[in-house]
Amino acid sequence: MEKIIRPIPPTTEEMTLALKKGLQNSADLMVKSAGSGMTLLYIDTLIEKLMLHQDILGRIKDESFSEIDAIMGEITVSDIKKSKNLDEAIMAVLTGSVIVHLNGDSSVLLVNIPSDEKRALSKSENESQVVGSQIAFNESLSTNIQLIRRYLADPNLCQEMFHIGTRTHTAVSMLYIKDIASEEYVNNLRERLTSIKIDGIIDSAVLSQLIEDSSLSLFPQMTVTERPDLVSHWLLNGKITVLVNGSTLAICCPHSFIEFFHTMEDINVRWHIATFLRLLRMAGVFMSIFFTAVYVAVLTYHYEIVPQALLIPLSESRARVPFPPLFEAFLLEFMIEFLREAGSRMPTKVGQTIGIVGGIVIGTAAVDAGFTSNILIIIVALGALGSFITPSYTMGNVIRILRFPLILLAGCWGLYGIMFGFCLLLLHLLRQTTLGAPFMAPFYPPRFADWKTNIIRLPFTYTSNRPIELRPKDEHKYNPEKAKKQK
Amino acid sequence: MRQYKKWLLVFIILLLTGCAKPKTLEKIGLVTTKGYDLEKDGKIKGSLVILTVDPNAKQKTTIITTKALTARGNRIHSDVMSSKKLLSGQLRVVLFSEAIAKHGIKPFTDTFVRDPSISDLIYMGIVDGQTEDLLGIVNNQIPDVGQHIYKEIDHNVRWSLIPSSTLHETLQGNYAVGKDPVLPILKKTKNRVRISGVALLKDNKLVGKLNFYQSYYVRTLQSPLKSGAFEIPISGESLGLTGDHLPHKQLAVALDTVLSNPKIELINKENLEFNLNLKINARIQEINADIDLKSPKTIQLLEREIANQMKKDIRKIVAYCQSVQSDPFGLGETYRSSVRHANLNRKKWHKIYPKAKVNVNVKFTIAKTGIVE
Repeated sequence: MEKIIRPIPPTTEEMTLALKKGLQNSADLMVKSAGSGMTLLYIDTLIEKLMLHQDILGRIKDESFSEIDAIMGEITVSDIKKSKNLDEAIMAVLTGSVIVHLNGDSSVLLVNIPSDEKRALSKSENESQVVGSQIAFNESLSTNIQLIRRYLADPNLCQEMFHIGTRTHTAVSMLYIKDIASEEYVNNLRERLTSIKIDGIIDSAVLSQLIEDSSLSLFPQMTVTERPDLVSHWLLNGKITVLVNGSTLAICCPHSFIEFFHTMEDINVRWHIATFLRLLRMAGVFMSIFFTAVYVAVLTYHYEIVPQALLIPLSESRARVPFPPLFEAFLLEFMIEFLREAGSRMPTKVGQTIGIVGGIVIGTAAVDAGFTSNILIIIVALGALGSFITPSYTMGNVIRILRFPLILLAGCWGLYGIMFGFCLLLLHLLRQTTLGAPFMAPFYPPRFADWKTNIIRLPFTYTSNRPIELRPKDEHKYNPEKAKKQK
Repeated sequence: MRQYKKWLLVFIILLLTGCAKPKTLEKIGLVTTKGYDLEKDGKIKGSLVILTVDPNAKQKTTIITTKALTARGNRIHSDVMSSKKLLSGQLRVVLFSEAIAKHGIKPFTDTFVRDPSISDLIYMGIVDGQTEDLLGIVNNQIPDVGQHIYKEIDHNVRWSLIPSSTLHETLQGNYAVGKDPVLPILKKTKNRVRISGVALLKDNKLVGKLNFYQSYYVRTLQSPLKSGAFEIPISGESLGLTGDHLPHKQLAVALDTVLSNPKIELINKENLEFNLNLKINARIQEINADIDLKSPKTIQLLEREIANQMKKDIRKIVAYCQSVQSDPFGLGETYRSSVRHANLNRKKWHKIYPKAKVNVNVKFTIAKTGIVE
């Protein structure tokens, strides 16, 4: 469908009328005469007043111009553009431009001086780390891009702009390093971003749900992070980043399952510690998913496998509990979930009460009342700890709810049920893709070369290659042969 | 439609939960030890030791004794005497009285091995006397007689004092040719449980007994070892010691095995003849005489004395085993593996085994005379 271009009305009255109509008579639309037939039209709340006075009004007032191009030369704002399109002018006004209209001229100047109200850069709260930089993204797109550019002064760092949302016109920026990131992935993501038809997106978390491979899956297939250093690190590996104006989170993809358990600190600390921490996290996640389920299964069906030393304490702590293990486990798991949800929604000042309620009242009292066994409390608490160990909050949530179906299966069929659930889970995970790349790499398809950077972390002297699962154009971080010679 | 069917299938699977029978831990009676006696009328008297999980209970175990014609029958009769369903998934020890073992333990071991919930690593044992009496020990120091017996057998097996007698190894009596299992003999002594020796089996039937002193040799001759303590009486003549100054006039050495390696060789196929070579490397822990352990000559003499004593002991044990037609050392296995087309079966082996000539050679070396442990 050919869009009809509405021209700019040449007379001041008509122009003012057209704009007022276009903006539904908005009260904050200002129409200011600058003398000699010049009119400034802008939305009061969206522009930088100081610039309006200094760089526009101060330059053109008390002078008369015969044509619009002459005004353009006088105004000292860099982001300035001429337009003959009324709709474009309306859109520009909405994103913080001032329209300079000269009576009798059918083109206008769009001077972009948006007021940049933004939070100061602050410490990363949700992904804190000890070793490494502390800065986090804020809500301003330009600041966020600036943060990344400060880390990567690379001329090949590409930035593509999109406007998504028929109503919100949210500025979305896609960043990648041209000679590293795989073209296939870049094209794929670009296509996904341009094909979104929606009225609006408010946050990058929403955008990531719109562009991920399978929205039915339990697992997120793209990660969001608030750390510019992590984003820069991933860009160097060949990933693509999407930033959304107004969001503190950057989307990174392709992102495989195992990478959800990585942190920037893994790179910053020495490799022994990093490897230990990574394996610790995997053990924690495994425990978190299966511990309670195994408890239920063993107590309901497989009393044979209880070690002799544990038999008496286990059965004695269970002896007072009036519920079957399945019910007991669900009761306690839900208690923990209530506590957690209440804790995260509460104002910080009240939040401390939650600790007391959870720790003393529910923990001790539940055992004293004979509601649960001591051993289950330990197991459930360990499981909860295990799910907090996941660095990515979105993945942590998945780990958190995964155990419920497994507990149910354990209560229905014991260890066979757990095995059944585990197989289903594995099948599901193996079918997932992230931006078309296999989600379970480097496990399957096996990419053994990536194991040394993705599962454990070897010293940098042994990891000269970028992860091959990202199919980088430039495979080497450095040339190991050359590095050897220079030594 | 296909999606809908898929989910329907999942829900139908959920309905299958009715098929798996829950065995919730606190609702079942855990049988930890079983003991079988022979009644005068030929019935089996089974005693089951059941773990009590009540934290307030003083006695940690309950014993239910019933009479039946089969081992399973015993459990059925016990079920109707118990407040909880009795299950034997936590079974650790099975004991047989001598009387019942003489009739054969195959029906029992066969039942146990076919029950998937019973571990193959449970211990079998023979009781000198009635198992009911042994399991009924009332002793404040033994709150749980079942666990006590299990731990007693277990640590002695691990430290190589007695041969191992797990269900798996006992099954050799059912399936293997050329080696007969041995079981420890337990005896109630002074209100305690004592391992008094090992029992020799032939075709799953008790045929002979060796005392505790001899059981060490059985264990040593079965496989290479790196542990095992024993006390051996020696004659002190060559050392110039009479032992007259000792209260019981018997010289003895306490030894701790560092390494022992038995080897069985078949040297004559027609007129069955074996070489039974045993290499032992041990350290002296104690000797009840004043002797100079620093002199190499004394050590040499001591080594010879101990080797001679061992040779004598082993010869005696082998002769006894041959006389009862039981082969705990696995001479038959050596025969079967060295003779082509031996076509050995258990009956044939038990017939020719007593006639075999067994030459015993012991090479004993003292590794250390210094630090004891």
